[in-house]
Amino acid sequence: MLKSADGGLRPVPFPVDDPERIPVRRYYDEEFYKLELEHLWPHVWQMACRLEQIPEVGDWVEYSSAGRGVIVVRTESGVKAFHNACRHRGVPIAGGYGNECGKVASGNCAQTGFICPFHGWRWNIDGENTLVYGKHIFSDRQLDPEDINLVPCRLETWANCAWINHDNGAPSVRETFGPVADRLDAHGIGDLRMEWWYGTVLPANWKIAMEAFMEGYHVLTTHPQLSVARRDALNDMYELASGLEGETSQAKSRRNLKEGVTTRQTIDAQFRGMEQLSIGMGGMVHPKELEIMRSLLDADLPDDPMQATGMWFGMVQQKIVDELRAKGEPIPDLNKVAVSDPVNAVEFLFPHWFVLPVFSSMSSYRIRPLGPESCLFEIWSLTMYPEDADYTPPLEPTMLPFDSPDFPPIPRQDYSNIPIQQKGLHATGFDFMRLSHTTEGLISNYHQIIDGYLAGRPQEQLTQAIHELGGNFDGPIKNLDL
Amino acid sequence: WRFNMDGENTFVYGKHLFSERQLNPDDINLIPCRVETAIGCAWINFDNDAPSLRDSIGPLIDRLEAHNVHKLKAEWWVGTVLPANWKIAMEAFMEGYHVMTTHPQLQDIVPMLYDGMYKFPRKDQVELVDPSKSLRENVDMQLESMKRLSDGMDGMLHKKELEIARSLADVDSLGVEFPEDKNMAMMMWLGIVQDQITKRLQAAGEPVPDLNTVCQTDPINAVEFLFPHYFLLPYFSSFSAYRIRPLGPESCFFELWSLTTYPEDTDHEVPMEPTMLPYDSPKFPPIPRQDYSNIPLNQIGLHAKGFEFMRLSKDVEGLVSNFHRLLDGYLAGVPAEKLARANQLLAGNFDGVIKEFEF
Repeated sequence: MLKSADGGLRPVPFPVDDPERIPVRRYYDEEFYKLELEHLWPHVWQMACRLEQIPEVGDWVEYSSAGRGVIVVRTESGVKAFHNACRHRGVPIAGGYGNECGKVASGNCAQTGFICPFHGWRWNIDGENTLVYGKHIFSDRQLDPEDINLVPCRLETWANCAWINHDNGAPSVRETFGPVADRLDAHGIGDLRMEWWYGTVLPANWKIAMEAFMEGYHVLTTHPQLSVARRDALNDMYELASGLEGETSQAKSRRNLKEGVTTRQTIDAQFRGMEQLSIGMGGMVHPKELEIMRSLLDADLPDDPMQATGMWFGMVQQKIVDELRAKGEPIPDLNKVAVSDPVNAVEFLFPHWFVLPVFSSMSSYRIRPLGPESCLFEIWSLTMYPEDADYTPPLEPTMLPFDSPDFPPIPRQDYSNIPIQQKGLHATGFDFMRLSHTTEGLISNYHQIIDGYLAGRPQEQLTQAIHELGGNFDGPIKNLDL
Repeated sequence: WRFNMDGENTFVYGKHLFSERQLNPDDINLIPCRVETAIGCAWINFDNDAPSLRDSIGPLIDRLEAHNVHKLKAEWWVGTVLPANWKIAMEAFMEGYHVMTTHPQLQDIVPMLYDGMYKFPRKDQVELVDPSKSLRENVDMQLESMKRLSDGMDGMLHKKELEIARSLADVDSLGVEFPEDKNMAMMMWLGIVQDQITKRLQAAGEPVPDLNTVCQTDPINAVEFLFPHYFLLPYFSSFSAYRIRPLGPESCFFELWSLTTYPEDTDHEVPMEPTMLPYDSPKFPPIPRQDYSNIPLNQIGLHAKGFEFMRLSKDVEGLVSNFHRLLDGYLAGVPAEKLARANQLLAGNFDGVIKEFEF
């Protein structure tokens, strides 16, 4: 139970009272940050590592966030996690770098187990203590096996990742994320592997960094190349009147066709948009998928551009499935799952993981707080590989300065806004984010959930609210009952 | 405004600008701070009522001065900022239990010594030798151990002392009959080494005491901790020293000295400030460098979930417990005399047992 001792809820500073207005101090106040460390991070599912990092028994990696480190290790009986401190005097049994440098400690403990570098205490792969050097120098009560075994950390695997939670009483990963987890499974998320992995330290609050990716409303101005590519045939969908409740972004875009535009123009515009997305993200629409799209530009399609668009995407998805399956990639039936398990172009898994699916490949982000105005932002390209491919995963991110020209264009454009936005928050007279209730709802909704954790609301309420975030990218404020 | 070397104000520029009451001599003289000198250092205390340094640290001060610690001079002085609480930084040096793992090069060369202290229950006699080897072979191992300490620390076991010890390696040509029992033979050889260090350095004009005598009359430990923030590490006649100052809850300033004797008439230029290095600098002597690789990690590990307290050995990590409880005495406001008596119990407590205090 998360309630405070007197049964009531804890007071939350700078709370979200008006869901359309998010008080600005939540993004830099030291006390608010400390409350997040105390009441939010210890109770949530954090993506600790991708399973490609630990393929063999004995492989381990370190994951650390908000000051707390764990070691994730693949044992004979599955992937486990242990809190990373020697039971003697607290030296990390492995790694211990902390986050800022992006360095990921890793190794294999199958031969030697874990050995603390201070006094040489040892544990096996299952976290059981196997050696206390000179144990006769300790009182018996100091060496109770229950106390000197490594302390396990709750861990579950999903989407080919290891997820940890510091709260043994929290609901499971699937129970927490809700139906969106099943829909992502249908899209093959569990079969994806890392193609590349970058990281950067952004001089901004973790929430500011994430909010840049919670709506498409910024695309016209922040990523003009995406709009320009489609301008001949497609209207800007944010200029149009509001759509229907629950309308997906794909359905919205189909309403965007300009007057008198031909099928040819429409398909070309769609392709160019996808091309810019692929170049811009370095993944998400994978080059191999883009080439398949390109090969269908001359396909036979009806004259009605709306009909043609739907048909063309169907053909593209079918061809992607056929060609990549022929190579041995475990692609799901994309047309089928687009109907049975629709997912949004951006899915946010509370509190710190994004996945961006288009066809069979996805981009992914993970954000970790480093301080009230600093965070670590990692970005992956995830794709499918033939089962027998000669695959070597990256073992740690390539760290770049946030203004590096080596980032793909789209995140680079977002990273150019984020640091200056953090500065702007301090301007006199700027007291709250002034949100759109139709398009920036995800921002409001997840902030309300944060308040729920800070206040100590019952876990069931928080879980139900988290379910509402599935598909909420670019979506409306919801009534979360918090 | 001016003050003489006694802190008395000698000049107020334009003193007529001030009300008379502003310029009372008692008020505008510099405010003295309590200071005492001992063991070659100036010690300050912001508390005018605190017991004296000698009453606080106790007879250890006299024992250290019997070893001529007050005649040592700084050979070099380095400093670093460690991203760790000052107490974590100090506790790395409060026991020898960490030597096997943190300084494996010391363990490897004289394993029987450290195994006899930590791996196996201690006997009355320290295990100085491997009985399966000859005296000469054991002497070679000891010399290599001394070399690794000297390279590793520089001050604590000075190069000049290592050279003297090495000149005595040929046990058969020393004109001495060594006992059958190799442990006793080794102790005798070490006595010869100390004797030669004394004689030869004295002959060079260095103010070295008779080491064999003072080891008996005024024994001191290989590491002596002077509460709350100073360490001395003697082996023969030279010392290493550490001083630690807090910079924040998770940051401290750690200084290291090599202290040694110089011939009385030498014009030795003492360093006037520390050479600052990053804590992971390869320029540090290997032994502190190994400790400095653990210390920042230790500070990070303290935050791991489920780690709530240091799980100490009552036999060899007693100094850690004792110094923390003395700290608590200060925080709680225990009377100064009781704190001083507890403080005195820390002498020789390196690698030692938990002690009982009056509070």
